[in-house]
Amino acid sequence: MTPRSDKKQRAGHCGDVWRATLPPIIGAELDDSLLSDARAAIAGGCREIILDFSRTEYADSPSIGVLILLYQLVQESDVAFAFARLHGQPLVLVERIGLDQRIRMIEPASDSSSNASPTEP
Amino acid sequence: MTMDIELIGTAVSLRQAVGTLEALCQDSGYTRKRIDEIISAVAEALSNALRHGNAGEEGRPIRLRARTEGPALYVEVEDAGEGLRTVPPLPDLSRKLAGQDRPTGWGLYLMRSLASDVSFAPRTPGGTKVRMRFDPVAPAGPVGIRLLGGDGHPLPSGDSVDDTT
Repeated sequence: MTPRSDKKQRAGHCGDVWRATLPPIIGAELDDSLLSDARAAIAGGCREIILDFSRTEYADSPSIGVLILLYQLVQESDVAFAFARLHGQPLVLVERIGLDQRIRMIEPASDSSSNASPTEP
Repeated sequence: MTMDIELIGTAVSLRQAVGTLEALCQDSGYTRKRIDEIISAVAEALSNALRHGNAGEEGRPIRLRARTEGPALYVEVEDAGEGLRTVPPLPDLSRKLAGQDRPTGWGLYLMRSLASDVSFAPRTPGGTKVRMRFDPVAPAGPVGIRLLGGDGHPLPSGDSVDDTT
């Protein structure tokens, strides 16, 4: 379902922060590595997880399930959690479901509109 | 603006169909946000058609129709399944975040939250037709789901649900 060239999120460490840049299209397959990578980051001493949506142009409802599982993980681990640069269609989903009221939103996109099609990688 | 596509129910073809709908919405002058809301709801309806209506069998046909009528957009998704017998309760985000409910199960909620009207009806000779109306602005909260009979009329009281109050 997800274009193979962009299937993996990119992650980086900066001190206590683990920041993962999500791919352009996210769905249930997000579960494949995100949760295990997050657990590894927490086990390695990370105190904050930031999901960077700057590249994400489309999200479906199963991806919301993965984000909820990640929320549970950070709550159990007492780790700070934030969504960064959420915009366009994924922002619509997060707002309608109400996750934006439960998860810290940082670095709002300067242009919240998106012209990318969900079929484009 | 109209479109009528019969697609083979694969994840790729579903995304392509949503892309076609998106392009048509852009041509019809909807705001970017409203377009994002429409494609989100339609994508969920198509995904449900594939997963539930067609029992996950990729390759079974799904039909997507869309037309504008005045300021409203009408979208229909047809599959081979039996549709909804009863309307599930609205999901509770707090319970899901607390691990008390499964984290998934948002598709129908998104359809109800982003469309102005949602109905399910049986299709002749078999299958289900989901119809959504999208007004220029999304509703403030989730709308009820109308369960219709084969004649297009609501099912007897107790089967069509407005559980939004």
